[in-house]
Amino acid sequence: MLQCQNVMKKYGGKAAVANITTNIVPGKIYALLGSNGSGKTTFMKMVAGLVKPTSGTITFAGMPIGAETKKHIAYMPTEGFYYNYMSCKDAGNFYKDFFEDFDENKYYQLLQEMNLDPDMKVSKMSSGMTAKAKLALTLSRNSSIIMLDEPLNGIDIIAREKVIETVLQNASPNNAIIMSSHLVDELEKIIDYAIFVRQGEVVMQGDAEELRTRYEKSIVDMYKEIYKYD
Amino acid sequence: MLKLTKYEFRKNMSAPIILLIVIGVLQVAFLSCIALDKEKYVALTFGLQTVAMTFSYFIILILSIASYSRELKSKSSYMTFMAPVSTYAIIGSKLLMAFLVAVFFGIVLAVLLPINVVIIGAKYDEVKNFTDALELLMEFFGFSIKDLIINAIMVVFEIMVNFYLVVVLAYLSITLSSTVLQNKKFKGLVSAVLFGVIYFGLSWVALKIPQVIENPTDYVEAFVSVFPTMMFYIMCIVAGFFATGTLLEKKVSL
Repeated sequence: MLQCQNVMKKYGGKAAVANITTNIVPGKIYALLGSNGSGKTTFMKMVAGLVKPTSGTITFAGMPIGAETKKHIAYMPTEGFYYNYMSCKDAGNFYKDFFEDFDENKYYQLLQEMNLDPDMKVSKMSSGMTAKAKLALTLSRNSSIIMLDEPLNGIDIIAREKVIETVLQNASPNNAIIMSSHLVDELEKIIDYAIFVRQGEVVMQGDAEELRTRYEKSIVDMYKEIYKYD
Repeated sequence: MLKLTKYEFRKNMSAPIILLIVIGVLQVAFLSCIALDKEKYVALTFGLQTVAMTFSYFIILILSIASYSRELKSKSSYMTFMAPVSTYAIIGSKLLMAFLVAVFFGIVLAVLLPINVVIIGAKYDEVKNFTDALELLMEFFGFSIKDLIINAIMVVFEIMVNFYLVVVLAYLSITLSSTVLQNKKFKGLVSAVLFGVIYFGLSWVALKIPQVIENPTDYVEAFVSVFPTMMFYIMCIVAGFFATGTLLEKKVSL
């Protein structure tokens, strides 16, 4: 469904993403793992069409990333990305205007479950509330690819469980969910596939269960092993 | 593109609303001074309002450029660039928004200014005598209302073309700064210099374009004579628009 071939992104002379080759298929939850600055966010931004790769190719259903693929790929950035004036309701209206796969009823239901007031301005929200609002907005799209960049950042332990539960509810045989996080132990129990990125390169990837069997380690332990010197 | 324009307007509506309030307050002050016969303040409020309306052109110009520059530097650009629309539609929506606001203030100017002149004329004989004398003078030199309208259309057309030329070239420079020059030192300065060089370069080329009518004798001829220059500027605007859209499409890096 989503194919990335030797993807590289350089800023000046420095490669933020040096070489990523992977294939994302529907029906799986992917964990994009790596320490700070390993290139996870840049990679997601390239898939979302916010950053152009310096070289390599990214295609969704055979189409290069562009306006057409944005209809099928949902991306939740780490930062708050709303326009200044926006409330949750305004953001929902924006998504309704531009994304055919946006489910307005689901959005308001998610906002209610997360105890968020639709009329509250996002700029007035706490970081935890903003994180939940972003998540509700992104997960209300029934997209083929859903990318969540650090979805557990700024969220307390109780809300984290709610986030994980919501992500699981949204997983289906028709979509692929890609999540990046430092909180690997939180993801360990729900992921189907792990991609370890270090200094912009995929150092290891595979089916989570197969990796555990092959290395006789949990994903958390593999993470500690790979990034112990970072 | 129209949907994006709606959000462009919503994002940038504060400044035009403030401008409109200022013009409105000055109009109320002007009418109050007329009603209270405060001659000195009539001139002051009328003058201030005319200045405010004229400056609205520059304010809209600056706001339009600043809003694009700010957006490319802020995370809210994700919202715009994640939408499944082409980069040309994104740029187009910003230009359309600037156009609509400029037209709106143009209409406000075109309506309020003559009304206020008529009100002053009706209230003060000296002004009435002055406008009557002006009309006589115009008749003497062979100017008519038709000439005035043609002249006004010509001026508005030239202003709009120049407005868009500046905006599109500024967009191109800002885009260059945020894409191909993104990791270069002094990128802001380089893009500002590029803007200056391109703008003055185009103005220099425009001066070299031969006039259709060397010595225009009336406003229609004057309009025809500057037409090739205006066409050249319009072509530059179109080229600048596509260059900006293409740069964003090929090199976007938010």
